[in-house]
Parts: sequence; structure tokens; C-alpha cells
Amino acid sequence: MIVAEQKKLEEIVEMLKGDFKTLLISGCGTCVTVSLSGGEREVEAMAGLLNMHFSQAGRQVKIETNTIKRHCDFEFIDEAEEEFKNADLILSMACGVGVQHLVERFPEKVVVPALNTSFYGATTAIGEWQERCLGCGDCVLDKYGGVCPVARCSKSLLNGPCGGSQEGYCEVDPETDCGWELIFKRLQSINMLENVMEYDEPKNWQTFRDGGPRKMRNKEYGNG
Amino acid sequence: MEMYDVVFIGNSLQPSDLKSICVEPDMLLACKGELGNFTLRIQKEKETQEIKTRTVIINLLDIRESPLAEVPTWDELQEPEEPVIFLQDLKDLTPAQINGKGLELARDLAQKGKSVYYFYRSLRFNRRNDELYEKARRAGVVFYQYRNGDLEVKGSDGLICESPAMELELHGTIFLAPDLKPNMQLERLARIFNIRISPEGYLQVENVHLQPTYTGKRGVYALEGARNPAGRTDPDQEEAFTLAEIRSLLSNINPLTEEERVVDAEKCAFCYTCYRVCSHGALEPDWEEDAMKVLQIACQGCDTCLNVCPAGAISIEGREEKKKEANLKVFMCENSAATALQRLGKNGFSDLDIENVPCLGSLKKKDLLQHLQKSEDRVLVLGCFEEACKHLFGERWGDKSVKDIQKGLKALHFKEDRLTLLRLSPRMEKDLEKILSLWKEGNL
Amino acid sequence: MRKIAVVGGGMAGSAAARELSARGLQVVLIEKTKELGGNIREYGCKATEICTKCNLCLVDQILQEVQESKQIKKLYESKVRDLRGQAGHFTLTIERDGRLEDIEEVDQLILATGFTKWSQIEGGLPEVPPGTSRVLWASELEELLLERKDRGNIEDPLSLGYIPEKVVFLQCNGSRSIKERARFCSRVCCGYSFRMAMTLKKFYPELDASLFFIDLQTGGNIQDLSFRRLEQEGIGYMNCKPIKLKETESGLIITYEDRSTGKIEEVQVDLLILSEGMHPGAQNQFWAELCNFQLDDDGFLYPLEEGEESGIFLAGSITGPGSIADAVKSGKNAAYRIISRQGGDGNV
Repeated sequence: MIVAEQKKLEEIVEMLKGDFKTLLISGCGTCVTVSLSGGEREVEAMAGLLNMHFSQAGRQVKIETNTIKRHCDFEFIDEAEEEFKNADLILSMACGVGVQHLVERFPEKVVVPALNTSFYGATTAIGEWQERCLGCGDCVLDKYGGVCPVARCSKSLLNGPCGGSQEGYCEVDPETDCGWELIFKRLQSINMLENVMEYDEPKNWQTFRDGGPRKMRNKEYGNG
Repeated sequence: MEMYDVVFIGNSLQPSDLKSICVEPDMLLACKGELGNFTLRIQKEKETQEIKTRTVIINLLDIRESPLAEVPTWDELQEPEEPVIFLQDLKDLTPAQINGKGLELARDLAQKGKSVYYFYRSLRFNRRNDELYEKARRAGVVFYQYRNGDLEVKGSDGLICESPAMELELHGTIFLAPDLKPNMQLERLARIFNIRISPEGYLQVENVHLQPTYTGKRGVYALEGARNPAGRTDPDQEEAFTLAEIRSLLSNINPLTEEERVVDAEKCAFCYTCYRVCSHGALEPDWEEDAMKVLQIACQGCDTCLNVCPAGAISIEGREEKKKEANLKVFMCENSAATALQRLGKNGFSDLDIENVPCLGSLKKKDLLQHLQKSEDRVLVLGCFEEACKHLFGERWGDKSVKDIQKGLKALHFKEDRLTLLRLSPRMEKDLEKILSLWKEGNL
Repeated sequence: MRKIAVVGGGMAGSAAARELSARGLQVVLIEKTKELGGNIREYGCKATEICTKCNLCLVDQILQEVQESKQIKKLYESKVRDLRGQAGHFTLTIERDGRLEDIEEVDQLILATGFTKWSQIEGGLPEVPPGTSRVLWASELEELLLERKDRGNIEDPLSLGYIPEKVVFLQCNGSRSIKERARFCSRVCCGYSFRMAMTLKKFYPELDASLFFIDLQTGGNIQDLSFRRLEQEGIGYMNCKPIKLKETESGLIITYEDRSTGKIEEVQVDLLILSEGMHPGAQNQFWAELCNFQLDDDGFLYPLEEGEESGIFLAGSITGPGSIADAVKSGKNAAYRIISRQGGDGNV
């Protein structure tokens, strides 16, 4: 799922320097809840800290909070329309998608992000996630034994390792596995090592972000 | 479907008065339910079936290996040529259980008239080892205490021992004390039962509350190789205790808590955080409700899940939010600080707003912050030492809540002493008295 | 309604009483002193940053529950003087305040009268110059730990009166010695001495600590206590019992034979802690005569028949040395066996 983490409190406080009377801290009950950064628990903690901050600064700010199921579908936002409309400033604790979606619904509102949204990841331990997929739009996992060279190799190489790895770790970061070592081991364990002998043509990166912001239209449900 | 009293995973103890069955660990696929009502899913020859049981005993053997490749252990003792040399403590000191076996074998051989030598660095005694040692000596076993680094093994038929005081060379058949390693199934079993595994790979973490054979999850017991060898001081007694407790429980399975913890299915994001954090295996997915569910018999009321749930989905049925009453607030863990306070008896701290909590882990960030809103507000949190937690790792989650708020307070330029966390034990009432007096005055 | 007598209010007796009362059985707890807790009443916590697994945390909650329980009738300053009857119907004559008073009629009995500390048998300690050094029994160090003020007296949390530089723990006192009438190993002393050594090192950071022992036992529940562990923690060790202890003006001098070199060595210490073996309880002889029990070679009790037959169960260190956790386990065990006898509903 989408993994996000909270910005440093000093940075958030910078965003809240302006003049406003009501602040709404809005959390999301899906990805950022699961990545432990923007669900109801974090929203309430943030409210507690910010309230102390405003008091200390002598500012009269009323803090409201809500946590809706998802920010990426309008219906959930609409359910809480009044709360959003009543706020002078909204601190979104949803992912980057949520921040922007809120602005689209309420173009006159200022919405600032409390989180830094990072990657699509899997949980590796409590409170720990690792990137697995970059959303390149053209999945080639069948060729690489289920280990993605685009996401797991720091250089996104498609035709073999760069040769710079140390003890199975990437030269870029000693805590990151060398993606290609993983691919080799994996193909070996399923007896498909010959796959690496096939030359892969340069990828069509147009399906990736390189072709501009992407959209998806499911013909079965959508129009056109 | 019939309900067993005990399912043994590994080896059966064959209790004649209990309805039991034995299952190989690799046959076990999944476990659902709680004490009094476990459902185990097993696979036997490609067929899956379910077994219902009230309790589970995990009774596996360790992996036993020789510390030196070419030399046999005394597990493999058959008809040895004399002189027979027993050698233990080569890499590190041998556990008492293994010691006992070695002494027994040595004594038996000596009683048959064989020439036996016993080399050790330290003899470990459990219930009757010291008697075995005496008997072995009287039977003629020659004991020699060597020092680390003094002894060198030459193949499987000789050793040399050199110290500043003496040089010794001995030839004979050498048998080593086996090294114990955790059974390979333990990690998988820990995952299936959702119990915590120790860093060494055993099903009991190092915590006094798990003695003798508890795993943290009610109704699931660990014996023999499922436990750390150092903790196995009295295997027979530990087995007897486990069966005795099971017998006494069978007609009497009650919840340990009076209040019910419930999960709000609307809010639950199914992130599995509560499941992973619970030291008692008291949470389980409820696929019908599409949310996690608290198992009321397994639950021990530490409320750590209430704190860690990122969606705030877990709450206590019927409990109301506490209102803030004073500027100086003290949270006390009921298993440590609160007990110490009771030991103090009458004390001069009745003006402090002291609240007892079931575990440090129950402390929610929002509740701590509620008591810090005014500029005169201060909060003191008192709980158990690390690894002393009655709920195993609950204290860690409380520690994390506090540290996170302290970080926030620092970032917002608040004084560091607004929120303080200190650790103590139930016996430290004198220190507690000092802590509370200093803290009241702001001099901690 | 079944009534069970538990003789001895230490950890084994209290744990048994608690389990029994939790299942609705009536309990009468007979304790010879004014309080519950037995030998460990005055023991203190040894943790500094991390729990040392000394088992004391198990204690106070159990004792509190027994104190508060209305189901448990507690007779303090009381001793059993006579026992008559058989399983299912015993009559106990109890002496209180010097008078043969109460008669208690009970179904079954748990004997948990504990052990005797070696310091109570051996008595005196060498005299040392006050303020510069001390010799303490391990139980005396426990009492100091009970009074510890980590936050109140940061320099000298144990209020020793001076900052010790070298501490030696002497193991195997009152154990493993025919002369001391204890050929057995008390098993718990290495564990608690190690814990105390760790605690002292945290309290007094410059302190040099060593252990003298014959063999190093396991520490019970903690991950193996071994020579390697001692080395890791910076605790010295000598595999021997010292030959001589001399008090001089500058402190204590211990003379010993270094077994690796065969030479006689001396070490000066300003703090000496003597471990204490666990010896048979003072009541053991009395119970052996009164009930059908056997005293083993070391003076501890063991039953000739199972408790289910005789109606009398043994719990705790009355049967031999063991840790606090062992006492709790064996007390609970006795209680479970009694509870299971009738399916837990109070009827035979």
C-alpha cells in the first residue's frame, strides 16, 4: 500500500504560521492508517501537540479533527462536507493524493500536508515497510522470477547487475539488498536461471511517469 | 466434532486421565480460537482436517549436535573402548539437563567396571545432579576441572590439557556434551500461534512471568526443546505442573478481565498491528465482520492494543473517558509502581492525581497530551523495568508513546520535564517516595 | 465446602492459598510470624535498566491478593502443634500467643514451611573497620537493596556509607561442604550473586567485581549464566574457595590458591558478600515425625505417599533448595492437585 510518514513538527508548524481561527486536522482511515502515520491516533496526537503550541504562542485557534475512511473517493469527503467548509485552514494527514483531492473538492480552501508520501510498499516488520513496486505500468515480473528489477535495483537495470554490490548489498546503501542478487537467487531456486540469458529490449517508459501524469480508464466500468 | 483436553505438538506426555492427541509440528497449518476452544487445522497426507482442543502443549526436542565435527556426542554412546572420556563445556558451559545425563552415563559405565574420565569446566546441578556426582565419584569416575583454552582435542581418541601447573595427555574414546540448538519448527509455530519468540529462537522470551512453561498465550504451553535450555531446571516438575494446571483449568475457564474490549469494524483497517503487538495472542481476524476481534478468554486486559491501534478502533465496552482533574498527573503501572505505592502505606501524596493503568502499554498519546495542555501541567509516568513487564512487551509501547510526545514537545520548545517516564519495581517504595517528592516540587 | 490448611505464609504457601481461594475453596493460612512473605520478605529489586529476572516481581501481587482475600483466614504468630486424622478429615491444634488455642478441621493440608538461611545457622561475621569496608551476608545486601534510593542518593544508592572499589562475592557458603552439613548445591546463589554484582557495578561505576565459586550454576530463567557471560559483563571469577580471610587496618585480605598457576595469591577487598546456602527448615524434623514423611540425607522432606492418598502435600523449599519461581510453581502445583481431586466444585 501507499507508505507515508509524518513531516517533522518544525516543518508543520512553519506551514501554520498564518492568521486563521479554525484549523481542521483531517486523517485518512486507509493507507496512512496502515502505515501508522495519518490515522485517527496520529490525528489526535497532532491536535494535542498543536493546541499546546498555539496556547504557548498566545494564538486563539480552535482545532477540530476528523478521520474519514478514504480521501481518494469524493463520497467520503462529502459525508463530512460541513467540517471541511467550516475550517479556515486544513492540515491533511492523508497521502499526497488526499491533499490534492480535498483541494479539488474545496478549491477555496487552503490544504497543507502533514505527511511525506513515499512509495508503494509491503510491511516487513511492525512499523517498517519496504518499496517493492514503482508503478512502471508494464509489469515484467514474470521474466525475473517475481523480483522486480525496476523497483529493487537502485539503477533499474534490466539486463543484469552493475557489479558494484558488496556481500549482496547495493553500493548505494549497505542496508539495501542488491536487486539483481535477489533475482539470480530466486531464478535459481525455481530452475529458471536461463531467463537471464535473454536480452531485454529497453523498456517503454511511456507507461511510467515519464509519459506525463497517468490516467486509467477501465472500459468495463468507465465511459469511452 | 469432539473436543480434546490437550493436543501435543511434537511428543505426547500420554496423560491417562486427559483426552489427548499428538500432532507432528509440520502437519499443523493454523490455529484459531483461545483457551477452552482452540481449532487446529492440520494436514495429513494431503487431507486437511480440523481438531478442537481446550489446550495445547508444544513439546519438541532440541537439535543436538556435536561441537566438533569428527567427535561423537554422548547421545551416541554405545560400547566404547576404554578409557572412556566424557568432555563438556568446550565452547560454553553446558546446561544442567545435559550435565545430568553425562554424569548418569559416566556413573553407569564406572559401575560396570570401565575406566572413565570426566573433563569439565563447571558442573551444573539441578534437583539431583549433586547426588549423581557423588555416586559417579564413588564408582570410580575421575573428574578433572580444566580451564578455557587449556584443553585441545586430538581427533576422537585423545586430548591434551596444558596449564601452568600441569601437563596432561590422555588417549581413549571421547564423547562430547551435545550442543543444543532450537528446533527448526519453532519459528513457524510461533507464527501459527501468534506467540513471541526469543532472540535465541525459543518459544519463551526471557521474562519471569512466563515461568515455568507459559508462552504468554493462555492455554498454550511450552516444554522441553520449545524452551531455552537454561530455564529447564526441573523438566519432570515442569511437566507435572503443566498437566496439573490443565486439569484444574478444564472445568474452570474464566476471563481474566471484567471488562470487554471490542473492535469497531467500521474503523478497523485490518492493518494487523494489534495482532502483532499483543503478547497474549488475544486478537484474531473475524472474516465475517471484516475486522479484528478480541478473544475475551485470551485477553489479559493490558490495553496495549487500544493504544497502538492507528485507527483508534479498539475500546472498552461501557468505559467513559476520564476527565482531567489536576495539573500534576501521575500514571502508575499497577504491576510495579502502584504496588510499591501500596507498600508505602499512608503517604503524603493524596494531593497528586494518581491513576493506575494495567500496563505502560495502555498509555495513549492523546490521553497523555490531554494532561499537558495547560502551561502548569506536568505528567509523570511510572512503570516496570524493561523485560519485567507482566505483559511481556507492553512496556515498550508505552515507552514509545512517551518518547514520541517528548520529541514533539522538544520540537515545540517546551520544557523537557513536562513529561517524565521512570522505571521501577514493586519493591522500590523508598525510591518511589523520593521520586514523588522531588517531582512534586519540580526538582526531578 | 472443602477447607484446606496451608502451613507457612511464604511464597509457596501464599501462591497455593491464592489458587485455592480463587477456585472457591476455603483456606486457613497458618504463619509463624506477623507477616506474609517468609524468607524473601526483605529482599530488594536488582534491576538497573533492565530486569535481572530475580523473580521478586512475582511476589508482591500474590501476597497482596492473599492479604485482601476474605476467602483466606490468616492466622499470624501461629504454629501447628499437633495433627490428627487422615485425608478428608484432619484436626490441627494450633498454638497462638503461647496458648494452645485453635482447632482447625480441614480436608487437606499443604506444608510449606520453607528453609533456613545459612546466616541464621552460622551466625557471626568477621569484624571490619567501619566506614571503610563491610562484610555482608547476601540477605543483608538484599535488605540494603530494599532500601535503595536510585533517585534520592545518586552517589551511594545503597547507603553503604562509602564508595566501594573492589567487591568479592564468595559462593558456596553453607553448601557443597560436608563440614557445613550441606553436601548439596543450593543452586540459586550463583544466580543471585551475579545479579547483585551487576547491580553494584551499575550503582558504583568504578567498582571491580569478582566471584569465587567451585562451579558456576545456571541463573535459572535468565539466558545461560556462563564464564563467557561473566567476561562480557566485566566480572572477574576464581574457580576456588578461599583459604583465609584476614581483617587488616586497610581492609580485608582474601588468600586463595589460583588453580591455574598453583600459586597462593592475595586480594584486597573493601566489600565482601557471602552467599548463603538454603538449609532445611527448622520444622522439617517435626513434620517427619508427625506425618508419614522421610527426611532425605540433606534434611529436606519428601513424601512416602502421594498427596492425593495421604491428604498432605508439600510445597516449596521444604523439599529442597529452589528459586522464588520454583516456590510459586510448587505452591500452585499443590493447589491444582487439590482442586482437580473433585472437579473444582468443592465436593469430594
